[in-house]
This record gives sequence, structure tokens and C-alpha cells, in this order.
Amino acid sequence: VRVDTEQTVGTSVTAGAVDWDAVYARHAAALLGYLRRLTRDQETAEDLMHTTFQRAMVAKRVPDAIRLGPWLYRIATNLVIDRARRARRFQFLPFTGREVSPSESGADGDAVRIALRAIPAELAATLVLRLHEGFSRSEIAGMTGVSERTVKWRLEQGRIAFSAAYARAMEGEHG
Amino acid sequence: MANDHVRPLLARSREEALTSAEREAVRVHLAMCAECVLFERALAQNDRVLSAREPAAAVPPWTAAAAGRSKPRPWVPLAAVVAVALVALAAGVTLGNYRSSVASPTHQPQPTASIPAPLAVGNGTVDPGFGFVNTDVAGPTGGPIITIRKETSSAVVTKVDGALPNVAVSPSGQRVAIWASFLNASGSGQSFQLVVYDTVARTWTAPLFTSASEVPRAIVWSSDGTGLVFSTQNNGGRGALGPAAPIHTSWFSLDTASAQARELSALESIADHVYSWDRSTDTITASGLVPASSGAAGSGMFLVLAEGQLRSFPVPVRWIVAAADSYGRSVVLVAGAACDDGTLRCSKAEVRDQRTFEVTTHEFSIARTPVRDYPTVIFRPRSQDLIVWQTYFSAPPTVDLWKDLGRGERAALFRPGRPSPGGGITATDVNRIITRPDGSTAFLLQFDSSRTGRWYGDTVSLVDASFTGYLDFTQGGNPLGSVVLDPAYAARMDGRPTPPTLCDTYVQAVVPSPGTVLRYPTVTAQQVRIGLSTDPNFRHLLEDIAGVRQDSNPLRDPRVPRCDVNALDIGEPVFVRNYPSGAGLWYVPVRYQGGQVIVATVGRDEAGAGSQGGAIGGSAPYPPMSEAQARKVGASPSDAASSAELVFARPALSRVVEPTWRVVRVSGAVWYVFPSTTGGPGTVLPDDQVVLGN
Repeated sequence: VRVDTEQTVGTSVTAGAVDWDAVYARHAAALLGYLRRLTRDQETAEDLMHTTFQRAMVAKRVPDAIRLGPWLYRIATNLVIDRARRARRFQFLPFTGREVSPSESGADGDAVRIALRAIPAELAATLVLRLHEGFSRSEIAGMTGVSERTVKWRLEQGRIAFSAAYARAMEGEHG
Repeated sequence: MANDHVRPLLARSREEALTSAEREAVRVHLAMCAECVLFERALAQNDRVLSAREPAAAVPPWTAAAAGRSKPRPWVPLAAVVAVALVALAAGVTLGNYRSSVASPTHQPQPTASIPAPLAVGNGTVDPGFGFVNTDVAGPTGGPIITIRKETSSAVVTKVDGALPNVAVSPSGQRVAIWASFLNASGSGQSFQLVVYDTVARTWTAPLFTSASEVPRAIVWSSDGTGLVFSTQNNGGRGALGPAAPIHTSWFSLDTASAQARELSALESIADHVYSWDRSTDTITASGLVPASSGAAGSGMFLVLAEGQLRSFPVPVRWIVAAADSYGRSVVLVAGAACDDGTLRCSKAEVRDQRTFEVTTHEFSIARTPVRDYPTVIFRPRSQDLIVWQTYFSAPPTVDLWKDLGRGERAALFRPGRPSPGGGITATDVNRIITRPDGSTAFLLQFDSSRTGRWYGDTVSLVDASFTGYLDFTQGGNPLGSVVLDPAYAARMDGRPTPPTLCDTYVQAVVPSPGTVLRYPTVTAQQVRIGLSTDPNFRHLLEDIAGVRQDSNPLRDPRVPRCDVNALDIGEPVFVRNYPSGAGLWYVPVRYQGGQVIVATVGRDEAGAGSQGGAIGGSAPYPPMSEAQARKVGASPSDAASSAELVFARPALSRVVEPTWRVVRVSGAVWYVFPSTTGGPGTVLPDDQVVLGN
């Protein structure tokens, strides 16, 4: 018998005492959907989701049931932002002249994802947490470690940036 | 740019109310700046786009469970793929099937007239008990005729000289609605009479409706086979032919017993296709094109006319309605999709509820190589199975049977040029698909224009997707539909819906979105019972056990009848304390007919509140050791047990926390009895060798 942290309200526990099977069963699908929204393909999203759980499992303390879900989102969001920053440092360079950059190919055919990847990752993550995942601004502030005012600013700028990027992505899809 | 100032305001207004000065600034800009108006609309549209749920994807298996819990094991994608493939192969499905089978709908279809299950009332091969409705141009005037004949014979059962080819076969397969055409008395034009032929009684009704000046179009039977919905259309102004007037379409519903017709003015000139009429709720579903006021292309709409009230739902951009069942249950949308080679010439589908237009099955791929056209989707009669017919640029067409709206198993129906041991004629292409009304058989037909213009093809069982024979329309004619002819078969083919099953009428619990805090008092067992009765997460768990969403759910218990959630009850909750605090966990057995199915866990915090969040499988009794046994094991001959309670604890040398009996002896000494397997069942340790809490 293991302890499912969904039950232990009010205190944090050590990762070793957590029933990770139960936590995975409860949160994996939602996290995967969130990551899928922000990444270019299913495989990347799955990789990031498992990295999220890996990071969680080696954490010294795991939050209680109420905070566990947002905490996992926080880890996942940081991974997405890290990945986006790395991608900007290491651009894909064609070497035969025929390859297409994965970030430009639109291989998933989804203009929304293309547009989200085209805007700063912090803005994209905040938009998705707010509109796709349905978190409140204060919850997002807690997850991303910024003030609620910053969240509001990111939502405002995110909407403006997404609007332009989405229009470009739609043109690309139709053009 | 002038709108650089207003853009942030418009974006912010999506989140919070603006000040009065800001609102005024926005108002002025919107009045003067067309770009600002477009931007505001784009923001609203983008919010909807971003809010659209990501299609459900199969969650990969969790490797840590097999890897042991002491150390997290790196995620190994290849191993996971192999594991999924092995599971899928063991179940006899492909990886794609596996993914589809685990995709779960987000929305429960609205209760409607239930769908009778498919039957196999006749032989697997061509059967004289069934027949075809055909059209041809061999009438005495050279005009179109309608014939009905057996599957096995060219002998005509009945014939109508002069009839339109838009016929409709009732769900029972026994009644055929036909528009017979007549020359007007003046000889200056045609009129049309709607008549119904009973293929078993071999009788005709009197004319049910006459259209003198408008041309009849579609005919659709009601789901119970007692009524018809049909349309008529003029070639100009309504009631008076005139090239300058626009085409006008009128819709009618008609009770076949009384011949009472009702004009459906709400659908007038809007609907272009009607799918179902559920007379039990007087609901008609249709699709149409709502014209744009500016003369630009209109937008596709799905229409629901319920008790005279019309609701319309926009069909998402780039999607089209491919099919909807005649029972008012499901509608299939299709769209272009990305191919494996990166082009956007492939196809995908999603399923929605006809009543609410909510998504019930998230989008799934149909073709991953370039296609010629949108797929054709046909509902298998008396079911929610789909026949999906796709043509390709560089490959033969595929016709597949997708069980349970694409969520179940998939099987190939068409194999071009399959072996013909009996010398029969097999199809190398598909030009038309006709299904028997009992849902047992599909006829995959090819048209041979090089000879005498005849149809031929394969007969395929929809029960097991097996090829069962050849079909050759030696007398020519174009098959339009399949009918039942044998009275014994007809007796089993009652088109009236069967009583709704539990799954038809069950409405799922709505689970709160992530981040929603759900708590109720959980100090006493009675409070836990009351709280669970209103806890949507717990209801969701019970639904999974009863297979409400899909029968292959991992939590599904085969002992519990499908969708019979109310057959489950809960046993006596057992509390395990996070000693010394008052918080802890309740363990609540979930039972079916007295037998334990699963143990649900319910939290209790320091404030005495919590909710259901986890579950432990298995039918082993919980706790594994009774209090009486624990008292006995935890006492000594000279120092009896005075109390015992369950607490979370672990031996100092173990990392596994488990519910443990904390036994206090009369002397005040505390001993811990570990009922599970840590150090062997029934291990007893003194206070100083135990670590408390979790």
C-alpha cells in the first residue's frame, strides 16, 4: 500500500512516500495535453512529460494534494521554456538544401501550435495555462513564480503576439 | 500607428474590465479604425482557438511502476513503444487501433431514441430474403423507373414507371418512400406524388403528399419509421417559375399513418440535408449553409430543430459534415490533415453529438497518405459503427469498418481484386457502397461502363469483415438501397427503437478542471459516505469501473454490468491517521454484490476536510489484518492491549510507508503491528524502531 499524495492535504511529503503510479494516472493526460499544445509533436510532448515526472520524483519534498497538480505544471512549464531557449541558441541548419527546419515545417499542420511556438515561450505558456488549462491568474502566478501583475502583462502581450503569429501561420497553411 | 495604443487595451479587456477612460478610447478607435475592429474580432476568435481542447492522446505507459520505486528510471521511448505494440498485438489490434481505443470522449451524448443493435437475420451471402431498390431508364416513355428485386434473382418484385431516383428505405428495411411522377392533366408539366411501398406486405399506400409545381428532393425516414422529412425545390420564385427569382427550398415533415404534413419553415432555404427525425422528442437535425450578408461565401452550420425551436452551430472552418446517423445521436465531421510526408493532403475526422454539437470523440486520423477527396462515411445500420471509404492519389481505395465511432476495433472491408476461387467477379475499385438494413452486410460495388453498364462487386460481412460472396447485377440497373423481403426476417427487423439501455441514458459526471479545489467534511465515516455521494471524482471512478466511457477502460471490472453504476456501493470506511496529527486517509471499499472491487481513498486534513483522489485495486480485505488480530499480536501475555488504531508508519530500516496498527498496551508501552509484507506479515516493532507519518 502506498500513499497517494492526493489525499495528504496540508503538508508536503518526501518523493519516496508518494504513489507515483496514482499521481501519473491522475495528472499525465492533462499534462500531456498541455505540453502537446506548446510543442511541435507528440513525441516531444511525451518526452517533456516524462522529464517532468522524473524531476518530480527526485525532488526532496513533494507538495500536498492541492498544490501537486500546479507544481507539476510548473515543472513542465519550466521545461518548455528551457527547451525554447535552447532551441533559439541551437538553430537547425539545413545541410543539403532540401531539409526544412522542424520549427518551420508545420509538420503537425496545426496553426495554433506553430503560432504558439513562434512567440516567446513565457507568453505562450501563460496563454495556454490561462485559456487551455483554465487556471486563474493567481494560480498561474504561483506556478510560474512571478507576480499576478506580470501574469496579466504576459497575457496581454501574449494575445497581441499570438494574434500576429497565428495570422502568419494561417497564411502559411493556406498559401 | 494609431492602433498601437488601443491594441494593449483590447487585449487587456479580454482579462479584466477597463477603466471608463480606457473604454471610451476603445470605443472611439473601434468607431474609426477598421483595423482595430478586425483586431478585436481576431482576439475573440483567438481566445476560442486557444481554448479548444487539445485532442486526447494516448498517455504512454508509466515505466517507473516496472522499474521499482526506489529510483526513478529514465524514460525509454523505444521500450514504451515496444510495450504499447506488444499490448496492442496481444489484443489483436494495431498500434493505431490501440491509440484509438484509449482515446476517451469528453462529452456524453444526449439521450435520444436508442439505436437497435445490428442483426444478422439472413444468410451471410446473397439472400433471397433481402432485395435491392434499383433505378433504370427502361420505362415505356424512356423515363426513369424504380424496381425492387431479390438479391439472388433478376425477377422484379414490383416496379414504378416514372419515379425519381431519390428513394428512402425505412430503418426497418421494409418501407420504401418513392416520388412517383405524373404528367399534369394539361400535359404542360409534371407533378409528383409521395408513396410508400411495403416490401413485405407488397402493398402501396395512397399518395401521401403531392407536389405540383416544385421538384421533390431529399427524403429521410424518422428514426422510428413512422414519418418522413422531405424537401421540395423550385427553379425560381416559389410557386411560380421564373429565372429571375432565387431557388427556394421548402422542408416538410409527414406522418405516414395519417398523411398529415407540416411545413418546417425554420429550415426553409437554410437546410440542405436532413439527417434524422426523432419523433419521441420531435427533434430534427440537419446541415446547411448560412449565406453571408455581403454575398461572400456562407458558413456551414449544423442545425437542430427541436419542438419548433431552431438552434444552429457553426461547423469549424475547414471541416465538413460527412455523415450523421438517423437516430439523432452522432455526427461525423471530416477535414484535411497533415500527411506523414508533411503535406496537408490527408484526412482526419471527429465525432460530435447531434443534439449539442459537442465533441464526443476527439479528432483522429483517417489517411496518412495523400487522398483524392474527403472520405465518405456511412453509418452501419442499427449501430454507431462507421464505414469509412477513402480514395487516394496513388493507391487503391480503402473501405474500413470502424467500430464504436472510431474508438473500437478497425477492420478492412475492401481488398482490391481479392482471390476469386469460385470464378466470381471481384471488384478492383469501389464506386458505391450499399448496406443491408439489418447492419449485417455491405455491398462494395464497382460499375463496369465498358460492357453493358452493370454493377458488380463484393459482399462483405459487417459482423467479422469477412468476404462472403460475389454480386452481379446481370439485368443492369443502378442499385439505390437494400430492403427486406422475407416476412420472417421483417419480424426480427422491427424498426422501432428498442428500450434505451443503461449506457444510452446514463449521463456522466462532470469532473472539475485541474486546479479546482474540492473538499467536504471527512471527520467521520458518515461524513465520508455523504461526501462521496456528491464527489464527481468518485463518481468518475465508479463510471470507469462500470465501463461508462468505454468497455476497455483499465479500471473496468467485468463483473459489473456495463453502465450500471448504481449497482456499486461502498463498504465501511477505515481511517488511517497520519499520527500524531489528526490528518490522514480514509480507505473506502467499493463493492459489487457484496464483493470488493476496489478501495477508494479519501483525504482528511487537519481541518477535517478532503475529497476522493486515489484508489487501490484488488479484492483483498482492507485493512489486511483486523483490529482483533492486531490487538492479539501486539499484546503480550503479561501486558494486554488497551487500544489499537491504524496509522501511517514504516519500520526505521524501510522506506515503505504503510497503514500500521498502533497498539497501546495497558502498561502504556506502544507497539506497532505491520499487517502487510514489510519484514513479513504481522511484524511487531517497538516504538523506537518505527518512523511515523508519511
